[in-house]
Amino acid sequence: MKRLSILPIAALFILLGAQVTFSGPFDFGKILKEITPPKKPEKPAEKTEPPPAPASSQNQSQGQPGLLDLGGPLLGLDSKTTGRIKQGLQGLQQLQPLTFEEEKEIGGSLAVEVFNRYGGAYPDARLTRYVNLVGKSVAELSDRPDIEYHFGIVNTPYPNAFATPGGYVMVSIGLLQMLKNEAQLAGVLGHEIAHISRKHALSSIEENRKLQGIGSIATAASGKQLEVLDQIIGFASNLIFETGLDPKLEYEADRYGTEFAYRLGYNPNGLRESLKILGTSQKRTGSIFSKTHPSFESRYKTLTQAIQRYDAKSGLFPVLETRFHSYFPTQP
Amino acid sequence: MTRFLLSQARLPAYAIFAGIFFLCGTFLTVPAYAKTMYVKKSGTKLMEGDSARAKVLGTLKEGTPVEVLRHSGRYYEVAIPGGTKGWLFQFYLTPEAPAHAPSGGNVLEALGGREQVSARESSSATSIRGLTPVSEQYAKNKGISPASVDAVKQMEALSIPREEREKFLAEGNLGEYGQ
Repeated sequence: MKRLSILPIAALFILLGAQVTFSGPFDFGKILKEITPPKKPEKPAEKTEPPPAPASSQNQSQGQPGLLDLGGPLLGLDSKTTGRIKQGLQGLQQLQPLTFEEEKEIGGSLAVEVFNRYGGAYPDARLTRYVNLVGKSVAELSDRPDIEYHFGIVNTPYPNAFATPGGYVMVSIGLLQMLKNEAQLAGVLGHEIAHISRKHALSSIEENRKLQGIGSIATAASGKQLEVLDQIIGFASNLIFETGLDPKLEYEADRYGTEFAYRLGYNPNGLRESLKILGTSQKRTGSIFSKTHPSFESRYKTLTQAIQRYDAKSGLFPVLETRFHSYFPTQP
Repeated sequence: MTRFLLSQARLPAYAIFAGIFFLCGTFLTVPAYAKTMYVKKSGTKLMEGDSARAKVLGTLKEGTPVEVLRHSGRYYEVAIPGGTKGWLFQFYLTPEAPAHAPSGGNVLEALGGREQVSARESSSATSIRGLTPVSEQYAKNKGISPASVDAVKQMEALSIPREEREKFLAEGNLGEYGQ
């Protein structure tokens, strides 16, 4: 009796595997894909394509019956029930976290936007290498050292810094020229690394994706749903360049950024000092910091409290002012 | 009833102190570093001593569990599976088991060529390199200048050899080379 009741459940489970991309180690979906003949390459996106379908139909095959469609009748399921199961599975797919590849697709697109909006790349290979040496070393001791981090300098005199998902960090030459030592640079980069390692922007993007009922970005990027990809990147772009993250996440990035730089051995006052410098200069410079971040004064006060535990030791840790200045001969 | 129980629970002061002493003894005599931690990334060097300049015994794979034996400066003495002891820079370890556990076999990789390879090459997450075609397509659709696309490609292409990074850290007394 028990065996009989298990069989249909097992069969249904196998069929479900074809519809859902599991993130676990045993992926029925992939196994079934491997034994299914490869699909013909899809045509590139055309403007005549219909707009992105609502959530419930985004990942449906285009008129091709899926395994569930074929297997449903075998299990005694009517088409209505099969449809409901499919809807549930598509909802489940939206709940799957973004893959690292998808994270890079979003982050890479946003990084391109950063360079496009803020004056392109600053043409100094030696300085860029130095920023990478500091940044990659700090990132290595972050809580997410298993991804590759990339650091670039944008050619704008305004003090700005950006982190986009997937490991991209951009700082402006204007900000770099305001800093006084390497510990401050490590703190600033640490703050940006913390946004990536703590997945701050990514979490908001994921939340939005679920709210909007958007499924896999891979589907979106397949050429049929480019509007969907635009929608995701549009949201992320607005978050990074206009509205900013939740202020709590900025304070968190300050704490973690300080911690990451401290782990590498830098004086833990680096980021705090840079906040003071930026706060002082804010009145005479234009920066998007003011609209996307809490005030420097508030961040400085909050961080001062948070890093008290380091103070007793801070004198032992280097700030590396001389090395820093060797890359900034025109430092005022 | 409650009052009765409380009055019965009232014990002589020496008995209470003896109890506290016993409890403290039970918990505090556990060695402070007798805990399991995990290697954060592949290629982490296991050293013979508590210094970056000590002899390298080998490199460990991401997710390798180690027993922390003691602490010296910014280093932990650890025992790896199989019993080999050595020293690791403390921030290369995490108390949480990473998603990428070692695939089995010898967790201590041989020195030599493997040591020169970036640790990240073994990670499935980081096997995805370069600006993705999706990002390029996005830029093209948005009419973003090729120079901005190239700027991100150059960021991706900039690779720093381990030797250069170690020299940088050593000169600044940072990381494993710090106090």
